[in-house]
Amino acid sequence: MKMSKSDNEPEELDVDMTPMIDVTFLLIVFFMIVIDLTQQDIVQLQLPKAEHGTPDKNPEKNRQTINVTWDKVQRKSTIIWKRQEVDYTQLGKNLFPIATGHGMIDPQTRFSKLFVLIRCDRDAPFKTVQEIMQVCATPELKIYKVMLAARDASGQK
Amino acid sequence: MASSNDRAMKREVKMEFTPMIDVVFLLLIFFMCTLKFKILESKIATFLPTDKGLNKNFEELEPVEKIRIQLSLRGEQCVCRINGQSMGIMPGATQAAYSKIMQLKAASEKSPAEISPDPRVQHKHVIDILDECMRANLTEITFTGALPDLKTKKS
Repeated sequence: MKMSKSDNEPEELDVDMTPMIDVTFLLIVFFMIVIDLTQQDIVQLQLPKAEHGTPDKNPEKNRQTINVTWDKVQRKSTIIWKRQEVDYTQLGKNLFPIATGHGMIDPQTRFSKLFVLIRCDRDAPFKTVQEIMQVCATPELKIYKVMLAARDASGQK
Repeated sequence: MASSNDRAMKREVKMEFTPMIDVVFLLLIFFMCTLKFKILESKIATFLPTDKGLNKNFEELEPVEKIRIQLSLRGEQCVCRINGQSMGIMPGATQAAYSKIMQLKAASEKSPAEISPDPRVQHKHVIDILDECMRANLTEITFTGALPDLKTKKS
């Protein structure tokens, strides 16, 4: 029996890609929405626990986050601001234009409206936090709204 | 016989999806790797002095009895003292510290707390004590203590 031409050729398998592409795009959109750009200032560190702190649900608009990490091996603390390692002088210089920028000085009190959140590793010496507070309180910066971050431990007991 | 035009019309147009899928998967992997779930943190608000900065003679200006909390180091251990009375070694001393704060608060409702941590004390012990102050509903908490750099600059 003579076979037709079409029987000899291997049949082409067409995989329908549409549902897979749909799901993939859906996942991409999900991740793009979930990604929080405000988290970029946050460095992974071990925060101390606090049960009675205020939950940080609505972060202040005028807020700068300063991270203090602790190297257990070298026993050294490092200040990280906007993903950059800084010393106290640099920190003061970096905060100056933000703290004294347009509309940032309270006309009545003459103090800065800027909030500073210090996220310090639980094992770091308190000296670093003290010195950051000292930088904030300088007459040039006049920042007095300083907050200390802690891991929310309410309801753990 | 079909014309060449007809044949062209019938020819199926196939789109090459492979590069698009490649890019899409690359994006997907990127987002999956960079994803960080937001962990709810808490904050303890402190306000730095707004007068003339560090006032060395502030003791003379204060008529109210303060709750003086001292955190000092004994070797590697952090010792908590309230108004000179030892509460024990941190973090175990937090309960005793809370009881003492409540006792002092009962005697004078508006007593402000003054925390003097040794600069070498670990940050977690300071937060523990701050947490106990918040638990005792103390509204006025101030930090004192030697600021090492300032001290060296002035001397």
